[in-house]
Amino acid sequence: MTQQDDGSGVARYLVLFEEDAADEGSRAMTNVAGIRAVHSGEIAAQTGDGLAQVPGGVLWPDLGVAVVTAATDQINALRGVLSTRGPIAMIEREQLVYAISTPASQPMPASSEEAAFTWGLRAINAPASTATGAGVRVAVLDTGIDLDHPDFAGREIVSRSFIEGEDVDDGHGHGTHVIGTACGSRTPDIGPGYGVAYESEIYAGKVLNNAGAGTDGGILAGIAWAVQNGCAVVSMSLGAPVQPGQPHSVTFERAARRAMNRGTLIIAAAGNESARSDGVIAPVSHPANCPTIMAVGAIDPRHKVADFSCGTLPDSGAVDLVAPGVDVHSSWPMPDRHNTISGTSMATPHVAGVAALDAQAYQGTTWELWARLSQTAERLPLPSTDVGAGLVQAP
Amino acid sequence: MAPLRKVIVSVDTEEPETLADIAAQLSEHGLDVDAVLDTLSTITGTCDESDLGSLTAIPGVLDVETQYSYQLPPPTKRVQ
Repeated sequence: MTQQDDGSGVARYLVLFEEDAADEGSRAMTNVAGIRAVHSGEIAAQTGDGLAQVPGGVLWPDLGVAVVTAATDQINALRGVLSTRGPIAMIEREQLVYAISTPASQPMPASSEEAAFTWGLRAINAPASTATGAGVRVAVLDTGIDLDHPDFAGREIVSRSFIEGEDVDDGHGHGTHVIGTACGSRTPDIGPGYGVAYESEIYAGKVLNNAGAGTDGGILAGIAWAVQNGCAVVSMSLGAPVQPGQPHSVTFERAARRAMNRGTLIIAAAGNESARSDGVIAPVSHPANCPTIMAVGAIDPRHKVADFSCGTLPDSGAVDLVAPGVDVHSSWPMPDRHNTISGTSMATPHVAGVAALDAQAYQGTTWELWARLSQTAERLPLPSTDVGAGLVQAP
Repeated sequence: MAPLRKVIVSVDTEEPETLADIAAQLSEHGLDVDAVLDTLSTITGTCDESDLGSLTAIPGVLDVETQYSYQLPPPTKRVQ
């Protein structure tokens, strides 16, 4: 089901706008990329062929979507503004769809899946999985969570702040985003589904303050809380840079082993200190560099290692797996609702969510979970020093 | 006065009573105890840099290390 491309670099795209921002988004498309979309109400012929003939494109304000014809440089210009919060939420290639002549029991066609889920969920094969994370407790240690976020309505969230003077309410955004990826919704009111273990039990531990700062003391207290509460998985999208050749922390490693002995697998971000396009690969950060903690690197939608993703260096910690970590769409504190950001911070909760799915599917914990995650990872044609066992896959 | 250090202390027991006992000894030797984490056989706290050696010498203490600090980028940054 690939799109028709006339070879000129011009192709058709779906542009999704933020809620109530269709008009603003339409203006942005014109100002940034020179794309003029016509309001759907102004077009007489509402047929497929007729709509395809409209130069620029067509905008449906009620749906918050436009279908546009654009050259590659125009779309690149538009993608450039995706990084700042604005009216444009997503840009995707238009897919051609065909009537399905097979019985209804066939799996959903890929085209409708593409609009329904983030690229990250699709890359880890989550939509096809029957696992939900139900019955599995996932602790996410970060900046807390926006407890009033509509995408978490109906979810029971157990929360605890380990920051003196601050409650668990997320004043930064990072915590809400990573909890969204690990445990969030597949069917939010607005935008694509983005949560991996969408029926898991959320344990939100605030170990980083609203300014994003924290210490080992707070994190260890959070880990102890998670272990005491029977959390099978702890997700830590946090890291402190280390020097090449710097040994891992023996005290933290010992704490991680105790947690593992008591049924809790800790998954942490490999770190964002690399600048691979400048030839710099930085070592895996603390505490992901501890052998008993699973270190997660980041890949982009083309399954290439993200520029910033730390790698396995001699006498330093190892990258164990990779997961989607570039342009990851997830929840953000209201009123912004959602945000698209990058980092090994975003890759980590994809793995934590899959670990919860595996825990449910195989009724396994700790070392068995580690084995399942590694064994089922999609092997990538990339150095294992960068990707470990490969791209995590849902059961 | 020596600079203050936040530290992690690893101990060789899982018994809460023994952990509490070691915590008391650490306190006598200059550790301002933050938390006794029985589940992880770990004690955290703050001490003078000059006390680090004597803390390590206490029976049952496996290692004493300084804590790392963490800092996320500001919320508006693209890479988190």
